Amino acid sequence: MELSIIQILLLSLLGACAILDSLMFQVGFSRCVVIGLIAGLIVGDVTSGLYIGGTLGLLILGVGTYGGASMPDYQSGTIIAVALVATSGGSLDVQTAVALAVPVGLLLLNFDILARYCNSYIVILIEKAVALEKYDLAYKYNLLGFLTWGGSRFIPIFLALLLGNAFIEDALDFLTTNASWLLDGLAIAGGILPVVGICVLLKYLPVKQYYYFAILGFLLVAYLNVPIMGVALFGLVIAVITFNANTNQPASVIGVDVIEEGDYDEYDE
Amino acid sequence: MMNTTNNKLSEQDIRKLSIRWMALSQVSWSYNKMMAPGYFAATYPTLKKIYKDDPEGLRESINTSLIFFNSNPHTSHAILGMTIGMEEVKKQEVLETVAGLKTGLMGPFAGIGDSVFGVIIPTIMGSIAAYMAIDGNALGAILWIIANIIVIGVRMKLTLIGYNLGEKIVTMYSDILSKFTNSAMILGLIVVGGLIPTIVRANLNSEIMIGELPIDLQAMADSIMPGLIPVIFIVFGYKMLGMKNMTSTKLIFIIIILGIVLGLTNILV
Repeated sequence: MELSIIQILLLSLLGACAILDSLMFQVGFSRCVVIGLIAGLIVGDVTSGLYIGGTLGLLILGVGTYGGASMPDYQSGTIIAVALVATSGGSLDVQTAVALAVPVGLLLLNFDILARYCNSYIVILIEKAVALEKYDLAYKYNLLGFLTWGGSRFIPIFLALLLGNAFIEDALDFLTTNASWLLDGLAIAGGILPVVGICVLLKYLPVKQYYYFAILGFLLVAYLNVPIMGVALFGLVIAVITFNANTNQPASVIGVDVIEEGDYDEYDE
Repeated sequence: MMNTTNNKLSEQDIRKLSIRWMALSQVSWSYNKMMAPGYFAATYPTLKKIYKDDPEGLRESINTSLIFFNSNPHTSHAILGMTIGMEEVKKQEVLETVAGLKTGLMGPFAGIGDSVFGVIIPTIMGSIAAYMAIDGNALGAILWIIANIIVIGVRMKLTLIGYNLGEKIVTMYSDILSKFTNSAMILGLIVVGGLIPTIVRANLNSEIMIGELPIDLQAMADSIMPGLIPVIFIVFGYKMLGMKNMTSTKLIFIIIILGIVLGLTNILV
């Protein structure tokens, strides 16, 4: 069975919806199992769709993208695998399709990184507009992110389904042999880029006056491997100590003092 | 104050704030500012109401909304509500506190939110959905969507709780607000310090060949101080930002080029 152009468009759109849902309301369209179900409905093979989506979903159970790390795009992988099973006319079984979806997901991870880079440019536009006090424009620039994120899924899925299986393998080969230096370099740069945000943030905080508190937080993580939650709790204790030291008579202690003074008064009389 | 009652935000405003955060918080997520543009986009219409006849206040507040922010999208609702509640009462007087609170709370809130909403719920619902799907049953996938809709309700409620708390903080403790600000900033600094080795990913090559001899650069750096490389990048970035004519935009490009060069030369992996 050949996929119609409508089916290809619907499947590509599903890929865009998946990433956008995971960034927005998280109703569930970003979950492989739900994607498998819907992709199955589009190509008319719900059982295969559920099987592929369910199996790939188990691979990334409870794995999230924390702190901006990209993870294999098994969502798009699910869509492509379901489409390949449907078009193979029985020659491709669901297990093989699942195995194929894994390298596809790994390859598509690079589109996720690309989208995040494009968004850096959007941030530049936003900051320029804000500097000129064109806030409504800045607000609109923020919406450009729908295009970068959506496109990062829509375009590769659309091309892959249009050009078919052979194309996917060729693209995989080309990128890993010829352009790996660029992909690696961009991944490394992506790891260092939060430096910019943290440095700008430091400009907002009284670093010159209280630099040693930042050093403390750093040392807790670097030497003691305290998780960030623990760092914040240590930070809270120190913040409370500083707060009490700065206020001559902390609220709770004032109350106690009053009662004690009363007691002493009674004894005096 | 008469002014305050005029500007009083309605529950509807807070609901809209919630929905905007869900829709926009990660739409222009980028490596350098992460959720900062989302924070701006979600709060901007609310801030416009708070600073109705005060363009100077609005400008300052928007700049604070654009400082580096990254947390769990679910639990951030409480932070968002809190800062809006505080700003509604005290306007730009509390912006320093807002900056400190955002920075201090984003880490711990991410810790709680990522484990509850990012790991526990998806693991439970995901495994039910996946196992049913592999048997060809779509019910689990549908149950997961229902669970996600309940989570959306929880997110809406969290904004309201944060909002009421924010108002309480600034009205009850207005006399000691400057000390509170100081403590919030200290908390922020400690968390930022902890973020440096956590969020900046830069690993030196552990098997670089000098002639015939393999050298473990990362182990050498670790023996000086764990997290040394992220700190060097932060100091570099902070100094660069202090230079004349340097903008965060230029710094982004410098970091990207640096990342690719360090990747090409096999220094970073």
